[in-house]
Amino acid sequence: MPTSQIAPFRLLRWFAGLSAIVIVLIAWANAWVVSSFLADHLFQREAAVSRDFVQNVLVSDGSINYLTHPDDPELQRSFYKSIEHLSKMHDVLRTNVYGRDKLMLWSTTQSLVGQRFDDNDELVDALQNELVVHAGRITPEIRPKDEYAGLSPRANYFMEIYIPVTLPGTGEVVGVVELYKAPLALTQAVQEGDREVAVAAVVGALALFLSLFWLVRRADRTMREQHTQLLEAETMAAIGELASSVAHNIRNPLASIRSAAELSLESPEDHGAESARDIIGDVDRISARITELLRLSRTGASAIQPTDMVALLQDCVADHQNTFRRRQQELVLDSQVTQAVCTVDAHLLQQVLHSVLANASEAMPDGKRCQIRVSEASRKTVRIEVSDSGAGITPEVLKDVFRPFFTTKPQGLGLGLPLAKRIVEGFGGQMTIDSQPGVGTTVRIDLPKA
Amino acid sequence: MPSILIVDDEVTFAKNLAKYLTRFGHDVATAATVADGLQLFRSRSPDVLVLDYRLPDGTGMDFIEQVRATDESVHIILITGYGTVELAVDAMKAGANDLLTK
Repeated sequence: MPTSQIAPFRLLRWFAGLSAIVIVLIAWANAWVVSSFLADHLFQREAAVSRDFVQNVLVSDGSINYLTHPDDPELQRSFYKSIEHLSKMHDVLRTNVYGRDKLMLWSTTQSLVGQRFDDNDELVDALQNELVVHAGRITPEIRPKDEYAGLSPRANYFMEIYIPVTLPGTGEVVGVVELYKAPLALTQAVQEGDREVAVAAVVGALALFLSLFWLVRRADRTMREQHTQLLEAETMAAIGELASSVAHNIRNPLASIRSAAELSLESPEDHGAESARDIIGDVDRISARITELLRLSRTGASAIQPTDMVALLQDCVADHQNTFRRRQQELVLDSQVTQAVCTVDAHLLQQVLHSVLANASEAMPDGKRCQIRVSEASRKTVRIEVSDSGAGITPEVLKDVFRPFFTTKPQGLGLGLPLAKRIVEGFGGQMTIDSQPGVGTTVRIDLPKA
Repeated sequence: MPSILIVDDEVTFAKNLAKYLTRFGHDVATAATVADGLQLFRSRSPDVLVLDYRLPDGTGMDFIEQVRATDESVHIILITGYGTVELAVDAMKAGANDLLTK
């Protein structure tokens, strides 16, 4: 008997893998966002402090006036002195000073003085009174540049700040000081912040993963226990049904045998021959039922191979034609396809069709018609429909027809349809029944194409 | 002598039981389904009803309920191939007078 092999879903393993990936990704993303926010915030603060310092230095000694009176040599001397002082501040690598007309007035790189920088967007923004900050890592690739010479290896960030210089009172921008810095203290603060954020992310992720893992493991264990209990309950129920069915199907003929034997003993001349015939009939019935029971538990090797359903159905119709003819019933095959190959055990599928056709014939009065239709339900599915024009099945009975040992036939064991469904599902197919009392019944078998 | 109606789809058993009871002078009729049994019950009004639990078109319980709706006096014996305490209790509640195992 073929059975469909569905791999069990390993909830705990899947959860452990997927949740670990998701939690790590979320923790990393959160840490990156927090770290970036902190670093940006620190750089902005550093730039603001630098702006205040530059503004105060230039205002306090009055040298800021040079930017509005560039021709005054006294102011120029004072201004140059202040800027030189600024350019020698700790962490400052380069200093440039621009006038309102974007002309460079002073620079640590003397060759740039006197040049105009019309295309410098940052300068344009700063002249609009905007504090412009650019920050980034000093990567190993750019560290060998001259401007980083003598820089502490621990200074890992650079900052380029365009500071608008404004006249006190009016707030008018009269020039821009550009500072290029490698702030060591800030680097240390950012790195420390990164470390703490990373530790918090790892601890948070671990705590989240472990608590969820514990919960899911417990849920998984509970589900397994409940599944086992359910299986045990189903097994016990099945055993109970089997015992009831066997008792009914064996003890009934035994009761008939006993009654026939008792009658025969009491008046052998009157009932001897008839009782003997009854006994033989009932013994045969018991034997047939035991055979059917054994067939249910048969585990012999099945011969699954690609089989043409059209050819198989033609053989099946030929085999059953006489049975239907004896009752003046008609059995026809309506083939919508010339060939439909499915991977099945032909012998087992014939058993299924035998069971379905026997039911159809029994359900129909003499002279009625049964049709077998084979078609393509979809690109991947072959559909076989057996439709009879019999009495039909009531909804109450229909819901139980696939239940083992359920039968409405006096001599039935209740295993034909459950066995047929099990066989079809073993081939990866489905078996369903539609019925309308008084109109007829359609048994539908869907099988995957080979 | 009391008349008896046997309703059992086990035809041989019903036939032999009928023969056996006939010898004692009972008027015995047999049916194999609930529908036939009810028809005979209404036409013959037997004194004793011997009912199998499992019938092709219903159960002995269904039969008892329909009979007891109109007849309180008939003596009903339920017979089954597989008797349980639960079935015996249910049968008594439904109106059977006795439960016998085949």
